[in-house]
Amino acid sequence: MLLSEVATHLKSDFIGDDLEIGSMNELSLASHTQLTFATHKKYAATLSSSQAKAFLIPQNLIEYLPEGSSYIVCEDVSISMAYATKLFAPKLIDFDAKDVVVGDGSFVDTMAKVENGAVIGRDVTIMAGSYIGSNVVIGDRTTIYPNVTIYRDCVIGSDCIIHASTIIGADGFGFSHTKQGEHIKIYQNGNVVIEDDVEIGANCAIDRAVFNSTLIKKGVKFDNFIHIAHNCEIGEYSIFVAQSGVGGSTKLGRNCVVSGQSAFSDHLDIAPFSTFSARSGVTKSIAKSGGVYSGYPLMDHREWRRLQAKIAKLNS
Amino acid sequence: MKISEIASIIGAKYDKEDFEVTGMNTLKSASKTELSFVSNSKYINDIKDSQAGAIIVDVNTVEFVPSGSIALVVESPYWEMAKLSKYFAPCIEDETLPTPKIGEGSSISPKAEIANGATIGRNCTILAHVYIGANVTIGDNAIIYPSVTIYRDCKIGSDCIIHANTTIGSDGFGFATSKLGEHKKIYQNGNVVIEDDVEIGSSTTIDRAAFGTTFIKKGVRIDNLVQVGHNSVIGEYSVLVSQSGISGSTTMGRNVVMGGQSATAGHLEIAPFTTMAARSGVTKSIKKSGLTFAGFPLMEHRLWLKLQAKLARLNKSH
Repeated sequence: MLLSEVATHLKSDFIGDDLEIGSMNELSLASHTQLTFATHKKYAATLSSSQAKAFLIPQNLIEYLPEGSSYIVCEDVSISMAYATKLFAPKLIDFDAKDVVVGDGSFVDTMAKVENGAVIGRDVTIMAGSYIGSNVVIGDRTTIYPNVTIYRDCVIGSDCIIHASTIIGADGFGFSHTKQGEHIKIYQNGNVVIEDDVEIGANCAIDRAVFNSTLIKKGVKFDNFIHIAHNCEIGEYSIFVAQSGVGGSTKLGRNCVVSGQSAFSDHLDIAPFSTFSARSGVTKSIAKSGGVYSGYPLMDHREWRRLQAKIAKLNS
Repeated sequence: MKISEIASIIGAKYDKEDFEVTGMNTLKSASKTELSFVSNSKYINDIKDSQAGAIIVDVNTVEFVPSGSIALVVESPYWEMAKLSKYFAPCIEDETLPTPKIGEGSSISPKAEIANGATIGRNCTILAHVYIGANVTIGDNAIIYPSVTIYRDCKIGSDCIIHANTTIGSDGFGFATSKLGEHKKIYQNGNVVIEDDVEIGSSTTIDRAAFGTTFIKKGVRIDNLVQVGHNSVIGEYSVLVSQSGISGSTTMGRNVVMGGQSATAGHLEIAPFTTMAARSGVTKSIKKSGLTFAGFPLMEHRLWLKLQAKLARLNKSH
């Protein structure tokens, strides 16, 4: 889509050369064929060093644009960005994609639905009621239990097990808010990538990224009812116990253990080998690896035990 | 169903003129042809004002039944109401209803199941393994992702998006419990109404009302794995973040935000523009709008921060 067409949809003018835009991306990751955006002056430095050629920006950031940029000046960049994501949203089903490819020895139940463009490896089992979206890739020997839904463009590795009713690649929870309190959808045009040897319990929800990928790395094990928000990255061999959840863009290092009903805020960085006991509420990044934590607000597990003893004394 | 039959099922005496009872409802909402019940003496004022044709009561509350209503006296009104609710439960599917109406430009997967009596608007997309029950209506431009189930009689507005595996209109969690601790199902004969421009995440459950309607108003956004209990009302443009839960009959004003894993008790009223931080546990109604709360027990967010600071100091002391 041409930048001029984007401008027409946003009912604004563009300044600079008209460019062919392939997709959208965040400021720090956008390439020269992608449309990106800056919402605030704190991103001025990132803006100046961006590889992108096309921008949605407010009036006060024009001076920080790299030389030769094309741009659309927006009154409210986050609202315009939300409207623009709709222009790049793929169709729900890609009917024009190639016929489904199913590897040798694989079994796909007749009551499952596999859309065009999907590629399924060898010795895979896909059970009744499952839905495999357009262009999904599934590795070898993976088992998909009944009623699992995998949205379009997601990638599942080899030797994975996905239990019943789990949803992979549904839209991340992303909206821009108007001054009147309405919520404008930010179309989630990324995907989910699940590496090899991952097991996911029943009724989990792993959301697709707004741009790029939500990543579940090799050997991760999820219990039932786990929520993973858009753009998260879950490190190798991490374990999540039932009903735990991770907010958007949070990254966990390898071998983290997250016990039942624990949860993380968004945009955190968690060091590898961190352990969280049940009901932990994590709201800050953790830089040092190997710690054991409890409570909400979160604290060192030993400290939490001491605090509980003191509270018990207060009450007696 | 005739009132005389109802009386004989629940073992109440009735020897006056017979009439047809069209349904069951709460004391406040029941009409002249409907049957209601008193479960608790705190509803005495509602009995006095009730328009119900007949009311199931016990010996302690019979005196409050207004002259226009018939009193059916039993030992345990709530238990008998549960017993009767089964007789008013509609059949799960009804083959006598007309074949589904599908609006122009809508695409329905051949692997989806649309029950008779359903009406689907224009330009909707319904993907594989979706189930749309009897008499469900869906507005225009809706997107229903795979494995969504919408139980009978529910209504979905226009421009709604419902993500995979979400269930709308399954039975609310309602039971009458006997003195021996047994539970009798209260058939949930209401429905769910979702207004326009609502987006609901995956594996979320919105339960149907026992009587009346569970309401999700215009512009609401619901994340994944959220639970909305029966007879709740979620106000316009409210946001429910992942793994949060709203118990039965709780009513929210507009633009309420429920953080991740937060939850409310039942029968509360939450003022508009209230924000609940993650993990909030709400057990009392919020009357003043525009405030932010946290914690369990719930307190204002500023106070919660102070408390946490004090706890941290307590832990450093000897």
